[in-house]
Amino acid sequence: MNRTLRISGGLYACLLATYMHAAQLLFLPATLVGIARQEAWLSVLLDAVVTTLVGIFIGWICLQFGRRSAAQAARSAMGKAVGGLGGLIYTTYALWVSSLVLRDVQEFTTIVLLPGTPGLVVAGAMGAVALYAVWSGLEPLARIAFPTLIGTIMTMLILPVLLYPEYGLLHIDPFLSRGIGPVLEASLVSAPWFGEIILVFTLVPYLSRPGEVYRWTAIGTIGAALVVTEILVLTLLVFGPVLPSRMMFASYTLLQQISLAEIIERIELTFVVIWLATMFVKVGFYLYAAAEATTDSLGLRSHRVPAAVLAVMAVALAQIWPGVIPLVTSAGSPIYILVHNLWEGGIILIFLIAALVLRARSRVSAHA
Amino acid sequence: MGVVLGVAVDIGEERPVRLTLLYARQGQSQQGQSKAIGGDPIYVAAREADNLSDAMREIALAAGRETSLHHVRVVLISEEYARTRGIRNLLDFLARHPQVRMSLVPLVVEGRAQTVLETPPQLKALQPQNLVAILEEKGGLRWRLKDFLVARVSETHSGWMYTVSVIQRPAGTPQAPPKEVVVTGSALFFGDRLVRMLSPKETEGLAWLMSKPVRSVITATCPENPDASFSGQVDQGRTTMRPSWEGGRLRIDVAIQGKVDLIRLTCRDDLADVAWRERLEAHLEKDVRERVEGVIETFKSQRVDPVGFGKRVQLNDPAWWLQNGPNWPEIWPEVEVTVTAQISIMQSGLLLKPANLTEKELSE
Repeated sequence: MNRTLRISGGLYACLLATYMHAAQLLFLPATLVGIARQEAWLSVLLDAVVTTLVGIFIGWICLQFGRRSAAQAARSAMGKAVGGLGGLIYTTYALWVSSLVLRDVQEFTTIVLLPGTPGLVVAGAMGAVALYAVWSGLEPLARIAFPTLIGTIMTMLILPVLLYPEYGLLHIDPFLSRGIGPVLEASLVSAPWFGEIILVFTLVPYLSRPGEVYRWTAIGTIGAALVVTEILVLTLLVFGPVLPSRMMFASYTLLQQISLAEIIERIELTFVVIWLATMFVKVGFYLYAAAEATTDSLGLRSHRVPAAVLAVMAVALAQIWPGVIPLVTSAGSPIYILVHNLWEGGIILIFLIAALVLRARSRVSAHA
Repeated sequence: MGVVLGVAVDIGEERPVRLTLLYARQGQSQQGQSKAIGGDPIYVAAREADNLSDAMREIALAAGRETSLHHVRVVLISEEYARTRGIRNLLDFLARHPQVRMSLVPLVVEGRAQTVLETPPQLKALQPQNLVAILEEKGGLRWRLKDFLVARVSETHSGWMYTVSVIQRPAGTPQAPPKEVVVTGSALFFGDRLVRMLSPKETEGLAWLMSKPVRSVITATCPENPDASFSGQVDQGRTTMRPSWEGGRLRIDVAIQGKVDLIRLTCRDDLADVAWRERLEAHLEKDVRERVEGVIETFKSQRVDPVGFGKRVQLNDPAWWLQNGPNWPEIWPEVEVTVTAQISIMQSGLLLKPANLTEKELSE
């Protein structure tokens, strides 16, 4: 694990925006439209504001750690046992989410792209490639995130034009016709996704200029939210406020609508390749985060073996879901939302305590 | 893999559903038009079963190859099936299938849907492509599976589809197919059931209401001579609907604006004369107004709203809609609708005056 390689603020924001939006595009639009209907995009923006503030707060915590990782800092502040346990909680979170992402890719690929292909093969292949990237370190992952995000930005620029013939403005409802309640409810459902902002605990120590963490965190988070918002708005413009909630992969179905003069069509695979690349970056980054936290929590020297073990565990964990329906429906259940938010909030709290302890120690030593 | 290009759904003779699939013979579908006439670039298979998925499976088993629906362009539904069974199951089957694209065109067939797939086209290699080309040629109003599904789940809209029919070909060479497929109008749905077929004239009224009348042709009698007529092809058309309440009673004002190019004129009028031109335009306006008023009355009589009058009301007064929206099918037939039309003649081909002598010239 090469910790000396740093990433610029731009790459930091690229990686943050990529991992934050990638998985949200698959199931979240349908779920949010099912709750907030036409105002689903508002719930994303609402979450984005809160997430940006939380991200900036996490950035402040990380600045208290210096160049140490959060797990190292926790171990240093709270001792090997308690601090190590704190780091391992972070590991389990990153591992869990990486397994969810692998299962997302597995379901999408086997339903839409490669029917009949064993899901384990798909998840295993992506897990193996991600592991190879993890072994190379965080900086190469951030460099891969850059072109994938450029591809995403290009997609976001061209999609409104390509889908223009499909807009049905007459299917739009009056603004906030059902009140603000559904918007708030939808923002709660998407909160666990936005809670993944806690992964900046892994990113900040690599930032070449730590003082710029607030700016780049805000840019990355808002960038990710804008991608999701645009996809939601386009989905609503094309399918109206009811139909998307019935779709399994609303954003993919949206891409299928591109048809210009019956000549330019069936080009959705171009965009799917870009999306798969973002998912690969996300899996790689989460595995890296898990491996680094494990290494630091247990005081190991190399992250290679933990990374390999965690990759196998992520692929195996991805198989615990009996199918895509439980995978999608559970994401909207109150228990799932509560557990994830507590998990994410707990991790912030653990590292906040570590930061406060270290801050107090440094003040004491300064006075001494 | 069997690549399916067209699907037809009929009521079976022995079982509830008869499904017909048109396969492209691989390697031949791209070989051009000669194959469409002399050779056989397609393979049509049909099975009757208790439901669509069973029928699909039986066809695949008989064909001995996996059925691919990635390239389906049209779904043909017999009028009888849509009227008596409704298309709820078909819509669910199509929307759920991972290979089916929502850009396919659903069509109602007057008569047996299977016969459309069995009828070879003359200028295209394959019937599904031919049907899509006919609809493209017809004009700007595109209506595909996606549009029907959006309308189907909407609170304010109801669905409709174009209708086609197989007719005896009125002219052709000895090698030409004896029959051809033509677009005959459209079909209105209440929920998932077909309730009324619309004539071509009514369908053009529908297109005007949806602001997509481009390429349709309006024909009206000449102001001075009822035996003569003239025609204009619509170049642009826009319709606005404004709901208002008068004494608690809802009314909707429909204002139509159109620009037409004159393509035929047997009247002895001079287009350079502003007064004459305005009289021609007034006759075109009357024709458009009458066909729009006619189709609106049809909508009301069937309690359907395929163009979104209800949506305009909802956007205009959300509070009123919140209270009355669920009863829209009952309220809609009682709504007073006023139609006004303003048509402008923009072009007249290569002639400014009729090719024949005008009335004025004759009198001189």
